[in-house]
Amino acid sequence: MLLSGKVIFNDPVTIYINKVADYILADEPELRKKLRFYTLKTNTPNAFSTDQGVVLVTTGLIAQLENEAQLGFILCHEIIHYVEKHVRNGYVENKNITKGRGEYSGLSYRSRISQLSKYSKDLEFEADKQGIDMYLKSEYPVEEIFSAFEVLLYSYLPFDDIQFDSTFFNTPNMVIPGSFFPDTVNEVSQEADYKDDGHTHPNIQRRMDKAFDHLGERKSLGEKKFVMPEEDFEYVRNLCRFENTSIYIAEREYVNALYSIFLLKREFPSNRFLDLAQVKALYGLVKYKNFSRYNEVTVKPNKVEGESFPLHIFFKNLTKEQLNVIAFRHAYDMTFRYKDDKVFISYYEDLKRELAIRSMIAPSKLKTMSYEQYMLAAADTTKKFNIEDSMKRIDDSELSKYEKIRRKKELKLLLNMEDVVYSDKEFHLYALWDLVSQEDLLDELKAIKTEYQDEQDRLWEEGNFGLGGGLIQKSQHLGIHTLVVVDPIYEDYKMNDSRNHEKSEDNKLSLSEIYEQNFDNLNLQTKLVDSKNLESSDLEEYNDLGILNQWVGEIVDHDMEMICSTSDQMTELTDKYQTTHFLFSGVYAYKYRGRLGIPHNYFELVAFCIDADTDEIEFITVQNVSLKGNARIVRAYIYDILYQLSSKPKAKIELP
Amino acid sequence: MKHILQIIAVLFFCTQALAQPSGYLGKNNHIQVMVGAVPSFKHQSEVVSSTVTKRLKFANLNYQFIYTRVISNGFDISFGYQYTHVNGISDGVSVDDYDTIFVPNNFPKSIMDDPELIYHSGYMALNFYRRGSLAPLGKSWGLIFGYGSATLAENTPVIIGTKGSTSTNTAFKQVAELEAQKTILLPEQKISTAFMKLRIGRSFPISDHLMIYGGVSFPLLTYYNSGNMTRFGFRLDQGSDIEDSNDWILYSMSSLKAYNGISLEAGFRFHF
Repeated sequence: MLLSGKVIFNDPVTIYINKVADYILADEPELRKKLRFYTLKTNTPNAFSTDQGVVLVTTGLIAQLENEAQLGFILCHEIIHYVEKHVRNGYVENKNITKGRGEYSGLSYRSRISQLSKYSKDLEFEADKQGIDMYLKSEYPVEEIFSAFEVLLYSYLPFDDIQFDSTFFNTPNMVIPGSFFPDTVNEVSQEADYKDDGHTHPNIQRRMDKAFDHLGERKSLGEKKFVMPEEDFEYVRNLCRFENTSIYIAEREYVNALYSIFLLKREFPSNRFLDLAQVKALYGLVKYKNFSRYNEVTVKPNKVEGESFPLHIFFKNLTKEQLNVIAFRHAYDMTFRYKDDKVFISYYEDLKRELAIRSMIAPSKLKTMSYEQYMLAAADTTKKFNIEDSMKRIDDSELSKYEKIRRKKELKLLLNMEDVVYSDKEFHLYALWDLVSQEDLLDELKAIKTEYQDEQDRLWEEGNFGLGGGLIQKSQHLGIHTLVVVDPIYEDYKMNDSRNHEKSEDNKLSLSEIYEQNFDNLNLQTKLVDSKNLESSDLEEYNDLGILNQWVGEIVDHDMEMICSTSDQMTELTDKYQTTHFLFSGVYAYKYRGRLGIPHNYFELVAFCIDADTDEIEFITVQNVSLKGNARIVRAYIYDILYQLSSKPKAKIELP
Repeated sequence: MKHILQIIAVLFFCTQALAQPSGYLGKNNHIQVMVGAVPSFKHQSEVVSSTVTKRLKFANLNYQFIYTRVISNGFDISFGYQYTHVNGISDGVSVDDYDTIFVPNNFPKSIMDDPELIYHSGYMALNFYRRGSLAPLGKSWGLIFGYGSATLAENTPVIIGTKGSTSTNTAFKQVAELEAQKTILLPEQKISTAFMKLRIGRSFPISDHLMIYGGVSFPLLTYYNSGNMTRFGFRLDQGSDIEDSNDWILYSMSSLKAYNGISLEAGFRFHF
């Protein structure tokens, strides 16, 4: 976990948490030395400790806190888990309970599960009680113990619950009708006294009751919500809130990201990070909508509680055309606000491509006047002529039968125009009016579409049938000279499918050596970024690993042609490592008993190389090898992968 | 023949160029020295040969030298040479034309240590590796197409006789006296063969250049032809009358057939 890249070292948040820990443990220097406090990058609000004295607090939790005192109580609680060795004892006890050993022998499975839950809750109560005792030695007010419980209770909601402004997405040139946003919200349903059967933690009400009983009339040494400067807390909390927005986008929770952005923009209205995050989130929604995978990135609105509900409803009901236009409009406007900013331009260009190719909008439908102007003009037009009178005139005219029919049809269309004008559904057709009337947008869209169709025709003729995105077998012999190999994985499994930890760790080390040997043989300019080889001084490399892991996770999740939200950070890495090619690989070794009970070995080798320029998987191989994955055999296979990447095609045979 | 060579050339160069395999650590060629062991023939005591011994003979060996080129990750081509000393098989000898020694026809089978046919063969093998494999590493199966020739030199002497009293008799060796001896000179014999075999094997890397190989090969199709007519052979079939047939030609062939039978193989490979 510590070397996954998700734990942050030496950053302002971790430094702040350590300062709070220093304060709480000021009287216990020996205990303080045994403990290490880190921040974990995840939106899940949580804190936990390990047997080794590592206490992790998530950015999701810090984003929710109201003051330093609440953090202080949570740290006290986690410190007690370590001091009382709850993790280790819990593990042993859980084993006994699940296996029905010792005092649990003879109990039914159901009873044992119940015991498991009870035991875990008992540990939590104990950590609360002793945590309170530790907390009382500080100057933090006792009331914050209970407010900390409330923070935990509602931590599944965003960090604030403010009515969403339906004009948030409006721009000077685009008006989204307010009718797209419902007036009602799903009420927050969580009660403190929820049923906690089967939970590892007791419900908040019980914890608060027990804390109240345990506290009695006692008071702490002060009433300070902040011992450290309040600005420090707010700075750290904002960092986490900003970070969580990035995590939401990386984890494809785009609507949650947009709600966070809405909340943060109230305080930071002109912030490049938030503007970019907004474009990224809209871009993500467009891509998933256009590739018919929208359900993967949206939740059922009835599962959403609180003030973010209207936003979820809004995006759930948008059509493909509307969403494409909204995202494109924002991306376009941002390229004006941040002139020459390549990141914004890249999103703008791709959204333009989506608008042209996949949005299903015929460019000719886009109007040259704004929605507001159109409504005014249309209202005037309908007032100016009498349709019934016009119908009569047609009847009396000398026109042919067919001409009369055609004219009448046109008139009927006009007759219904009032409905059309006031229908909100077509707001998007007017949202690009300035671009359509003043610039060459229509020509550009047509040119993109023509080029795309030509490309598809060419692929069809070549027999490629227009393969879209996806983890398909990519071409080999890429002629790559410089490569970064990212944290190769080796997982060894025993006959019973359980992970052989010792062997896995040992083999992971030898895997790194194997890579190094092969680099020499192939004369590849390479860099191995390996979590196992990191020294304490390699903080920069460690942080690189975090970015790389987030990046690859996103690419694998997307599995389509799409710019990753971490691409801008990857630009720094490509400059640093002087390459855009990053190889991720893993060896998974298994054993099983075949017929006649004879043990067999096999291993799976998975490797894929991503080009950071395009965020596309340029090479992928998945091999199931019916051999024991010893060092020599694995080395040959890894050599083959590196060879495929580094070699150039030797011959091109033209078939007659 | 010209067309066959053309096909081989296409397979060898074009396919290889298209696939661009990495081979074993970048080495697409290897030479291999291999020993094949054909299971021992059934032995007997009534020997008509210069060596009247009964030995435990577990296998008859052949020696192969092979060059292999990896064509793709799932396929390689080998060119091999095999050298074998073929011991004769007989269940009796009819030498009526040479002498009057009486030899009954119902002799059980025997192996005759000499004379020996010298058998040379050359072959091409197409080896296939299962999906996910990396030729030449791991498990493979192959088809062998070959041609060979076995010859017996002109005037090869062979001493024949009937078995006398046993002088040595142990669990592993039995030596008997040879009575009523007679030396006869065999005429030149030449037998040509064409064969197709199936080979299944597996290789294990032991260093950056070396691998060991173990496998087994089975004959699928064989064709034997004798170009000249001689009057002496090692007889396998019982009961037929040598005077009335040309079965004796088959005797030599039978020896050869036995040597072209199922064969266990082990070898060392050097990759370059």
